[in-house]
Amino acid sequence: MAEQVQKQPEYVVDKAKWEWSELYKKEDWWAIWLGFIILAVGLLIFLPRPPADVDQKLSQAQAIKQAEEARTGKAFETIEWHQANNTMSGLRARDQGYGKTIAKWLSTPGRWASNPAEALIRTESRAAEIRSNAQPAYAEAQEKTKAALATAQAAQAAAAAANFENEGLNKQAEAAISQWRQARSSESSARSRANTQPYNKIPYLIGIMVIFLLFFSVGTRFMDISTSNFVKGFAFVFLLAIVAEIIGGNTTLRSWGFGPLIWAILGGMLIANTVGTPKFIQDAAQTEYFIKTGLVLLGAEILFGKILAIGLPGIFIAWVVTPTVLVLTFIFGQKVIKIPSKTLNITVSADMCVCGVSAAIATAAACRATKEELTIALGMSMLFTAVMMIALPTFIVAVGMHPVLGGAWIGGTIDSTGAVVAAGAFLGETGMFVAATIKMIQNVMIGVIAFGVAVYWCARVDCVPGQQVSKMEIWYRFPKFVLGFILASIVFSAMLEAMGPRGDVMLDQGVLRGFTRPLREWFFILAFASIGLTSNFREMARHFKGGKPVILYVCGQSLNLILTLTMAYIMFFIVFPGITETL
Amino acid sequence: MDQKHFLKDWKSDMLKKQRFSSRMGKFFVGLAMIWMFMFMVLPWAQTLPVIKPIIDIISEADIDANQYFYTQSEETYQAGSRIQFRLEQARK
Repeated sequence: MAEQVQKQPEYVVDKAKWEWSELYKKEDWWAIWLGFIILAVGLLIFLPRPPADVDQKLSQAQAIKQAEEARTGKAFETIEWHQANNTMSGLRARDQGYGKTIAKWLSTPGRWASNPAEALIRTESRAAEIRSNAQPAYAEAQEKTKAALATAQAAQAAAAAANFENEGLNKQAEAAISQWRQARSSESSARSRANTQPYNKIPYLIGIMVIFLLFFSVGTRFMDISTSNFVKGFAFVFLLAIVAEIIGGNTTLRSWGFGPLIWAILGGMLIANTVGTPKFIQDAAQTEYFIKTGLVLLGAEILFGKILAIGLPGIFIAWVVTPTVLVLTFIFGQKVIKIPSKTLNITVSADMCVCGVSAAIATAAACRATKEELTIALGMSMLFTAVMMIALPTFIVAVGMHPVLGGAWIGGTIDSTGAVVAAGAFLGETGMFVAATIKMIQNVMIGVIAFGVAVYWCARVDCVPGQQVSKMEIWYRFPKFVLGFILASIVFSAMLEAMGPRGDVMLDQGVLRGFTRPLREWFFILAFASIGLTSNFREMARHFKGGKPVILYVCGQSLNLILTLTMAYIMFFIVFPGITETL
Repeated sequence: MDQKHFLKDWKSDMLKKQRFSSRMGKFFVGLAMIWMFMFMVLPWAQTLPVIKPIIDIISEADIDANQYFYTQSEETYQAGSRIQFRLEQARK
């Protein structure tokens, strides 16, 4: 407590007070205003411009799916069902002309294997070389898809002749359809390579840098930030973010999950702790400003309708085990390991048991953790995620665990979505689907966690011992950006539910994935470059004394592994075995 | 007196230069470590028998293990509709 008081004295005053000027002087409110402007602009761009005949196409596809469901009378996805499903998921507002233009402006540097310059520029001659090399593979993939489709049609016809009552024939047909889908997926990848186009991202990157500079510098005029220094230093912060994006775009690092965020921090720290960060760059490294604006946008992606995606088993695994592990790990950190900083303890605990990077960012901002504490949590998360992404599926396959159980275990314990999908893919399609869905439900939880942590910190942690905090006092101290985060979540969840299947096309695959998500990714990478540029190795080393954060992570993750596996087994094999059979 | 000042300035300049060289040295050592991690350590690790099968699957399926939220993952979007269908069928 002494450390908390020493670190943030402004939060323990007995009588904080509300001033209306906070609405334009505090970064929390600026984050809300800027976030809401972006969300409103996104809605104005996308909602009036749906893909042509969207309602007709959706209803046709739905009619086909229903007819196929009635024909088979069971959880059997026919070829026609998959084709209709592909039509539905292929309807995306972001694939319209204007959506592609926005994507071009908001895109980050591309992928590369041996030449980093390819992340920024691909010449016509290089594109032609890739196209010509890819042509034979594409032609071969097309032939394979045709053959696989013929086999799948024959197998499905045999199953249909038996009215889908013969389990043996059904299994054969399902296997043939699965192979056809894999062949289609391979053909799609081959087609992308065969249609490789040249690009030059540099003009767009300069353009987006200028737009971000203007966008954020407006707020600096009202807050206690030197606008001239912000303008001078922003290009450097942006440049570091670009370098981190280029490093993170390397195919090897991408496979391991060591993405741009960690390189932004490491690159910034390398500069700050060796050659030093000049003052004018420090003024542009506005971590909180960028991160809170990004978090308001992230709120819109927290869609509460998703928590029912896998029924009650998912809710028990993600929404009962996760908070239980979070609370127990936090108590363990305080009482047993005696971590001196409560903010470090809760950030590591949330990062480890909820969903890695995004949970760490939201929790750290809600409890006002230091930059170094967030860096420690993220660094450990990325390292342990890389290890678990390899170790967990290897173990599951070695012991012959059921893919539904294994998938649920992976989804509930591995931190980041990408690593969950990668580990789940090792178990096959069902394992991957279950793992990804459980992780999605867990992702939605960060809204509740961030809100809970913010309230708990205001009411219980940031107080002098024995202090009774009134409701108004909690309001004064509350990190206001969390309100924007929660409000964005509620509004977009309600809109998505109200719009039905059209909501997926226009909101999920339009406003969110086509506009606010790329912006949110940009704001986070700017925030992480800022964290690196203003972080101190010595301060981090102080937190690492005795290896306490690592012990906390390992013990918490061990508990998480045991409880998640136990709950997944109870839910999928004792309480709802029917669901397991269906999946 | 002048000589004393000159020596003092000279020492101070030398110290600054030494500090600058030391900082630049650390900076380049850091860069070299990142380079080694990217181009030597991880590519070698990918060839280990325990790790190779998973990395092969990631490469073949073109999975981006960097994604930290479900809206970044195309696979999660597909998974949602498939699981939903199967659960609806199970309820019938």
